[in-house]
Amino acid sequence: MSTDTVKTKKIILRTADKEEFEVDEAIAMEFGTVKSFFEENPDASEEPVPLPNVSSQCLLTIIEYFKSRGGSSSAEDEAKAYNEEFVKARDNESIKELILAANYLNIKDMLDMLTQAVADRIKNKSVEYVRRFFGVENDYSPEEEAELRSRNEWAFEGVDPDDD
Amino acid sequence: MQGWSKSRIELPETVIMDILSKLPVKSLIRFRCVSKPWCSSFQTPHFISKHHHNNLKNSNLNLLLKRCHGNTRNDIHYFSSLSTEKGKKFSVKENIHLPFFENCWFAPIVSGPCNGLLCLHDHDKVALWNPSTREFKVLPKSSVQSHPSLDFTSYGCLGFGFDSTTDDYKVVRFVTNYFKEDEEGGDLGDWNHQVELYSVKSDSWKEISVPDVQPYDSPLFNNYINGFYYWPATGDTDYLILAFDMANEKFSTLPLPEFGGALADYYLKLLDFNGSLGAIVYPREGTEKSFDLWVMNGSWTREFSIESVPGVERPLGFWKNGELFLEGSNNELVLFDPATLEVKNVGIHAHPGTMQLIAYVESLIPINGRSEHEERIIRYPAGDTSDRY
Repeated sequence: MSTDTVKTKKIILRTADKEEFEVDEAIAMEFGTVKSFFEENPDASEEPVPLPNVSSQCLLTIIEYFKSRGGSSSAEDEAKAYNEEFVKARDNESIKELILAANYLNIKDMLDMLTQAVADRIKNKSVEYVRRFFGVENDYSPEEEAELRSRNEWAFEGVDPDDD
Repeated sequence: MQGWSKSRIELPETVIMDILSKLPVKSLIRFRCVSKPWCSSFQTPHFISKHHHNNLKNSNLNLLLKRCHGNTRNDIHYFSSLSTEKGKKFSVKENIHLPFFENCWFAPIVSGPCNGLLCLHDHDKVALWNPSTREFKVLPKSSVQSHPSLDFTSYGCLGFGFDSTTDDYKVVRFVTNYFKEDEEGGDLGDWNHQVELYSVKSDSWKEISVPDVQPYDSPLFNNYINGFYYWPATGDTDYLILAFDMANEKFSTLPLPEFGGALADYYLKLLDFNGSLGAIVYPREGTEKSFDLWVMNGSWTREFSIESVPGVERPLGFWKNGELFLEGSNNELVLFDPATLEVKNVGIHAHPGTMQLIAYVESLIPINGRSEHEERIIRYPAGDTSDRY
């Protein structure tokens, strides 16, 4: 008597903080890392898949994202609106954490969506804001920077003031 | 600032570059100031190509409209940048004046876009323009035609495109040289045809062999498609299409589509249709016009027809969802929607026959030119009054 065809297959994922999550196979296979794990270990279907680079908080968020998003049959407008809502509420640090997780888990679509969201968030920001956001050190001398700014004055028009 | 001492998540370099490759050119130019490594990264062929590809994938099109308001020498052609934001209805964002072409007989003719670059020319003046990075490159004068009895040179058709084998941008141009009468021998002044080729990497012109057919006409649309530039041309007995392979620097010919009419009664304009060579055919006479769109895929097939659009003179370019921009009979820019069959007036006018619409995708491609500022190119923000500068 086969039970596999009746129940939806679940896959167990174990996060960095040793928590285990039971996830529908359909969702788990969206994660490139998980997919590759099973391709390399075909006999490991009952064991938890170790994800040492993802926190449980993060994985929970990602699972929720896929559950609430609906299937690929949802209209383009609906998907776009859902993505916007998903991103809007989160601050910069939590988006970066999700990006790291999506990158590690190799979830291409989600990573594309998140990186585009960050690009949209920073496109009108100042140079200083962007340095802080990415933790980049300024290695220009004041003279060099001033020269570069004056040569491209037009690119500095209409920039958001830094209040965060 | 105590707040910045808390540990911040650092993203890997590849992810950061992935994010940055999704930014508009203006942001990237500003962010050159973030750090020297970032500035260098933005100039690598890999980043430039990734950035351009992202824009192509998202169909991020920008619109430039070239036009004039009269036909005297005092009427200068200029460019208007049109908004493509939802709800902005193609309103004019800014008007751009190019002093280099101010004393034109006619407009500067625009070839392109090719990877976000435009080539403008009038008589012997040629320039390349990247409107996204605001770089402008005046091409040097050619030394190819120098000859002691040269009287004058007339400049004909020009093509502009990309050679993917050498990652170089090239300009091909047809010239006719007229020679002075030979005072001793009594020969009447002679003339010859030449073809010259310029490349950005060499920054110089060289002569290449002349084809047997003569190109004519100035482009209404982009005639650079997939490594080739196309012109309508005349052979000994017939009309056909002349093609130039940017990589091999060789000419070849193609037949015209058999559209069931004569060129005396119809305009046939070549264009880029979704990456293939296309031709749009429409009657010369009348203000209610039908447009046939032919596409070359091994052979010519008529892809579709847009029937009986009232009150229009000529097409100016396809937009998204099959919409078509046209010059209306009232000298205004209009947009035809094939789904609703509506002709919407965009509310921008120009002297008849002077409009040329260019839809381009932003790119960071450098052209070894100078800034718009150095070339005294001025961009005037559009006022809230009329769309005229």
